[in-house]
Amino acid sequence: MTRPRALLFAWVLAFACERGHGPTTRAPATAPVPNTAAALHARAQQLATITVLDLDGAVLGRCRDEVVAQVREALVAGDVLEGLAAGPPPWDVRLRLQLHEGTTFVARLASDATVRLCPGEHDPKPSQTHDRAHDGSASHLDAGDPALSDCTAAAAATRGHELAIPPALFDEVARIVGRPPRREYQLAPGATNSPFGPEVR
Amino acid sequence: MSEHAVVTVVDETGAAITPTAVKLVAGATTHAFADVPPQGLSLDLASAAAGSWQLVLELPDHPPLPFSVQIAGSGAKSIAFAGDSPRCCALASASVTDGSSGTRKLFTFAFTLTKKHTELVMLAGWDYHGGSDNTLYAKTWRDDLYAGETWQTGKKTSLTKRIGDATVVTIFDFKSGNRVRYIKGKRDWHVMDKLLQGSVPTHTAGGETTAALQQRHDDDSISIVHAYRYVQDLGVAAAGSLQRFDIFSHAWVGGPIMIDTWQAPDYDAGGAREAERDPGDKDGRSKDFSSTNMTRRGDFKKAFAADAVAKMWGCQATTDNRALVRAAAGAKDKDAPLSVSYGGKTYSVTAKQIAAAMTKNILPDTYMKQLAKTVGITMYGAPPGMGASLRAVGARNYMFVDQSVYKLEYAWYKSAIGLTPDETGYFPYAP
Repeated sequence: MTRPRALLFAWVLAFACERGHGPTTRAPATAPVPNTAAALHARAQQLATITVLDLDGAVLGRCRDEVVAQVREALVAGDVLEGLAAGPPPWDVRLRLQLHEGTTFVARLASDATVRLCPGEHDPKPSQTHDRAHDGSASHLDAGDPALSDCTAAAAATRGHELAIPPALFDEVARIVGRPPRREYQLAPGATNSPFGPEVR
Repeated sequence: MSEHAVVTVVDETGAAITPTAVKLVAGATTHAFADVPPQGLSLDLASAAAGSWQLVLELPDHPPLPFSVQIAGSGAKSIAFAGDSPRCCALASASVTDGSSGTRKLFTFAFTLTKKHTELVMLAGWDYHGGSDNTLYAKTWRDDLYAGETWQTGKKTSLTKRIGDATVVTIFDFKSGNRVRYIKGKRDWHVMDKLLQGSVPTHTAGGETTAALQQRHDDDSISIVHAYRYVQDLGVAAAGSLQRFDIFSHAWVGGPIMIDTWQAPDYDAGGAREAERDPGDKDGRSKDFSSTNMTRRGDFKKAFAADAVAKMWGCQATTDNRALVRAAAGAKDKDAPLSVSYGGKTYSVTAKQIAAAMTKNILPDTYMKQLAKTVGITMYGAPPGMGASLRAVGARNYMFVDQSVYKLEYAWYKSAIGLTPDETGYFPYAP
């Protein structure tokens, strides 16, 4: 073999070997998507499903498509809020918001009008993360993520992580949870007077 | 050589104010000052043991004004303010000699106060869910009202200065159970006194278990009634002195939630004694201002200055109220029937009827409206259906109602009822 042909052969061989290593192309490493209101807001148009979980990660129910559509619209139109809800969350539940391409966010109801996303909050069931990976979808969060942060107590660390939600989501969670809301959201217990006057029955 | 504490008082014009009494008080022990020529109103410190004392000034048209002082020394005594010295007093010491009495060391407290007493009362509820210290919101507001500037909207704006060097700021802390009185200090704030309200601190353990709720109800601990009584006494001692009455707490349609007590069934809605305050209840209620529950309404009203303002900074996030507003706001035809749920029942009402219900029944039943009517001043509070949010600007902490969250609701209130919020999202509930 002549020297130029040897060099060409060596180059072709090297190229072939390179291409022989799987995966066939090296996909650029994608940075994990942070579990923040800003990140969700930037991807809100992709919102596909909302699942309601209890604090142990058990699935309580899934929001209907028409509710998800309203939430998608509200998130796209809205913006990241600065404040924290002064009132308590109405129920101790979490929301898993999943996008079409598989990325998931975990949020808490902060009030009847807002949800809060805490940086570092991980999916409540890491095993499900791996299961979803087999499905072809994938969580952006790994099982080894930091432990759950307590958004309520760490107020100063979690400002700027809330998004406004439409009443439809609050009502949908109430339907799924099947429990009455906390005191701050209720009329006086036992109150029977109609505010509309006697002409309305 | 003997040591004496001497007190002089002038008002803002420099005119002398003659105290009706000046005392050193520690627990059950009291030493009264006397007029001793030529040094004036004074006390020989030989009679007072070393330790913490209150120097109490009793002036015309003022409540008793305690200042925290410390006496040191076992032989030769000295006296000084405890903690941050108040700006309203210059303390100087000097030795004087006269033939008969020998040498005396005089510690002269030269107070510059105001002819008319001024005070603010703030209530900081216990954050039973979130663990926040609501006194931080009260203290931020106190600091802003002294400085004449605020960051309550997130940006620096000017604010009417309601606190001067001689203004007393009283904070009821419902988490600890203490009432603490402050006056402006040279560096920060002088703590005039701190007093536990009731006989035990607030029971903060146990969450919302039945046992914990019952203990909070049954304990002789801080209650909003303590704050009402304080204001009533102020009305007697210094009519027209109260500049502001602010409540930083959780709240609901029924009123401010100070430590989250529930009324016993008899006193609850539908109970036989529904109109009366439950003696074990520590929270505020709309019914507090009736003649049944506030026998000293006159004194309560007298305390407030003519241009006084009150504000409840917590939520009014009742779901049914918000749903009503949104139903009315979304109605294209204001006379077309809408199906709405309220209090567990379904009604067929028009948007016009919802507006009428809000104007005639819902708004008037609020705690804010009831206080406003009783005192004859405006009380600000969240609009029915809206929750409050928290904002931090550096070390400053504020509560506010986020107008970007409730755009639809605010627009309806403006067009249907003519109500617009202040810069922090709260409605004025006028008397």
